[in-house]
Amino acid sequence: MSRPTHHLLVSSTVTCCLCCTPAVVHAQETTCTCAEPVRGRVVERFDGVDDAFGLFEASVTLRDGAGKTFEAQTDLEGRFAFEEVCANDAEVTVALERYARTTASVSCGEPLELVMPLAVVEAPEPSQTVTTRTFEEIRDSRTRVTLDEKELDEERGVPLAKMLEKLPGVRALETGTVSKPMVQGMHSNRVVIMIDGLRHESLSWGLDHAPEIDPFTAAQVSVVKGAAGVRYGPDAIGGVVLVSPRPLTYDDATLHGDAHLVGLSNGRQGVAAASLYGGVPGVAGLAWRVQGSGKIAGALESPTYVLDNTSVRELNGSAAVGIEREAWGLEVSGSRVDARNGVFTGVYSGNLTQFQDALTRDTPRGVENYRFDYDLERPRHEVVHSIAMAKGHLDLGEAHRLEATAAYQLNERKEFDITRGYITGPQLDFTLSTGSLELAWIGTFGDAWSASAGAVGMLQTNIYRGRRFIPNYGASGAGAFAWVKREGERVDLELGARVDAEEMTTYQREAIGGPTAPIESFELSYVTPSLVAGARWRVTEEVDASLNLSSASRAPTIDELFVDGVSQGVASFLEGDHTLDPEQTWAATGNLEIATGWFDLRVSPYVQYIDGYIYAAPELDDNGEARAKLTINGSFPSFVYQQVDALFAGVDADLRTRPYRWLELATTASMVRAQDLTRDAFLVFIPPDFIAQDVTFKAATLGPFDGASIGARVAYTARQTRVDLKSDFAEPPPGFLLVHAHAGADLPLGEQSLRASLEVKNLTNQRYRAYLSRLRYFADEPGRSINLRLKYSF
Amino acid sequence: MNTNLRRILTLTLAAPIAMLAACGDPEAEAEDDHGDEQEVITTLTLTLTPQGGGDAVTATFKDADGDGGEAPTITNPTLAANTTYDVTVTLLNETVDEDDEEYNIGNEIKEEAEEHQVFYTGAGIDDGLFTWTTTDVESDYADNTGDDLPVGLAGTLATADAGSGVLTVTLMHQPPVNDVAVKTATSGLGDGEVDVAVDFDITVE
Repeated sequence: MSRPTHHLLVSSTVTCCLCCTPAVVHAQETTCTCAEPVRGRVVERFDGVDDAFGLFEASVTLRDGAGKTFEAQTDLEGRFAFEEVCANDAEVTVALERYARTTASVSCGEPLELVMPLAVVEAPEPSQTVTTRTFEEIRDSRTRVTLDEKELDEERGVPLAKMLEKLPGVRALETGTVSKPMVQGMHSNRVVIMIDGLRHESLSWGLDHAPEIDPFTAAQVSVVKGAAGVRYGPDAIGGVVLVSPRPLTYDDATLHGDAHLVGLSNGRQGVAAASLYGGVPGVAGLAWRVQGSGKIAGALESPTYVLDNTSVRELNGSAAVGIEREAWGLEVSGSRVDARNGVFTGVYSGNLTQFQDALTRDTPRGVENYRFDYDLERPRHEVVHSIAMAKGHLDLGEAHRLEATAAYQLNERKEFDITRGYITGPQLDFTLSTGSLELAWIGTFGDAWSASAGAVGMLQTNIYRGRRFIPNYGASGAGAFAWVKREGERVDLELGARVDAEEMTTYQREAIGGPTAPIESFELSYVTPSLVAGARWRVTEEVDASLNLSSASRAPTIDELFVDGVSQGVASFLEGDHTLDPEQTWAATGNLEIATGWFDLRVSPYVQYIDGYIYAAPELDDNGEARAKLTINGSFPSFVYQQVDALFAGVDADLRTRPYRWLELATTASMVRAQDLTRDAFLVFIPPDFIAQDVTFKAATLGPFDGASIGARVAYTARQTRVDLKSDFAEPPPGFLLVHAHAGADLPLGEQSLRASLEVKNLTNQRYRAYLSRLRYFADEPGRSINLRLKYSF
Repeated sequence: MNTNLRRILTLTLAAPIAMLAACGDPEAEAEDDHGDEQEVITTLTLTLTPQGGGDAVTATFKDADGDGGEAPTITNPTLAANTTYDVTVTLLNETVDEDDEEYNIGNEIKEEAEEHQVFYTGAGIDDGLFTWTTTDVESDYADNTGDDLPVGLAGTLATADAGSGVLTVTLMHQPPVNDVAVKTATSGLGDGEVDVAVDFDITVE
């Protein structure tokens, strides 16, 4: 049987130096001593096919003429880049599981194309070259933006959603210290979060429930924008956040690790993290990784007063161990996140009159008593999220791969309100446990075709203690998916479908009758289908366009179905509706990427029609006046969960240019428009228009330092003018401009390295309130923060 | 697939399912009392006794199932004109039994008298239909440190001529912030958190 021959190709473009002899440009300079970016691509080639396929997560090592080594990993396109390295006499080595380690010389001045044969992996059986690829290696037509390890390192110490704000189209929905990601205007249960391939299960419906993820576990975070139900399951309507840890290093048994130390002046925060990873010397195919992080933060400060009680404590850890054999592999991992967040003292906790009073004030009531300290008092949230997971894969022959993932997640969330002294426990207490199993097959057929099919199963229970808010429930879900893809010379096509079904039984005593009321139980079931049809067209070497048409679905969440009570933080009475149907979204997302030698442009427009969009709208009486509900605390406007037809549309763009070797400019912009078509009203919490510009000066070497940079970033958030005051309560805050500055350098220490960076966020200590922050009714956002980050790696 | 691999896969797949079985029964737990580290105030009662003698009149706000569920019921009082009434305030949590220690929330409030105050406002007072005077102080209920401030769980209501007007009874919980007392001689409505805010329609005949 003939097999396609695979060639490992490293193509690199090295533009000649401009510094060594100014104003002279040489085509074939062999003694350049300056720093030049070395960019290249690690690909797989099939005979008879002109185009090459990028290989993801290949380890690339560059050894420059002076003997210094630099490391990088290829991205999803197989691309890698080394900034500020000396290309003279440089050598690039590429290592990737199942391919032979390959080395190529790089010399300045010549665009170099190297073709290297793939070495056959030694095996006791007659040689088989395994060519199977994992899910993530097969490119898809969706819009995906990524923060690699270096970019994540620049943001370490702040919550995950804040780190992701650097990505176009992603914003953070904040409540003091907790923040959750918003993708193209959608958040909470319309954004799926995946950790290491596992769907994160938590009470994500809460506006102040941040995803319980330790950002230090991430070596890369990608955001897939738009409806992605076929690959990622129900609820993937706004997008998917993929948090990927560093893969286990099966081909390198030496001990490696890194340590982070971060100090943030606002809140006088200290954050520390460390990780160790490696193999077992002498034992092939065994690898492990352990990691931990901790955070102590005191109260944040706005420019004019302390945001009392916005302290944080966090202690997290994770570990993984894996075996990789020629035809199969198994990885077992576990993690625990323990986070305690204080709730700002000035967040109202009374009734409508008190809330309206807070809206008229310029400073929070009682601000004169606010004080900086590290105390974590009531009100506060405490969450512990634990995960245990096992992933295995089996290669069947050369072209087929089976994967299985089994996992258990436990989410324990406790919320402590201000109470009288004799009460010591939490007022809200939820325990959510989820067991899941996923089986998938991925196969490649010939040069161009690949397909996958699989099934998932899930069991979940929620048990509450404390105040009645949402009922206990037991749920089970199952799904099946299939997709097929053709990767051609110029055009990739993808077609897929998935259906998930969920059955849930709820248990809660009836509202009337107290502790002996009969238990009311509902049995609910939902079917959530998804479809995708996508195309990706490599118009030229530099231009890439894709169009993705997809449909995804989301079943209503437990709070949309059953909530019945006052919502903390905003003066409203929320009522759920257990007859709600799932939402079905029809989305078209496009992506245009132009990548030339000196600029990178990406524009992603999208439009999404959501049939049955669920949200809490003010309940209106026959005269169009807002209804109110009376409680012992007073009366509150009543909000009822309703289903409407909604339309979301927008565009994200980012542009990076490098007009000179030492100057890099980056622009990011995003715009979202969202409308409730049924009620002809605007939807709440839609991000206002945003644009940011970064200017960075880079130096190859600066004394003993490498990769030094200094720059500034200006970010403008417009005022949100498309609002419905009945739902928003207060006028949106005015637009604001923030200025940030950053500087950093690497200090190579032989095999190890130390990176230091200094950042000043909100340099001018600007007072502002943000529409996407629930703090905006009560207080200004935090002011200036001077952040110092140190990273030591070995 | 060799037997070792099969064993490994079986164990790893079975483990999460087994863990799940140990994680609780939502139906059984629904019958539980849910831990009750929460307080519910369901009932506010004003007992008004005329100073010259006579039957007491009660005004009640009762939301038996807490927020949500059935709407609350309000019993509005009818008072005699030009009479002064001695008033006592009772606060109950009627979701628990009478002999439960949490039944009489008023007791807990009295123990923490330094952090609570009841305020009496409303159109009825503004229009002069009746006047309120708080007669109790913190030391009536518990040891007092610092200023001996009024509490508002007892007082007198003096009616004028016939008419009707609203009396708003507001219980403010005013715990200290950062060890600085919020309840002071000058603190009022709006300082602290609202625990109870009830409007009574008072008819004076």
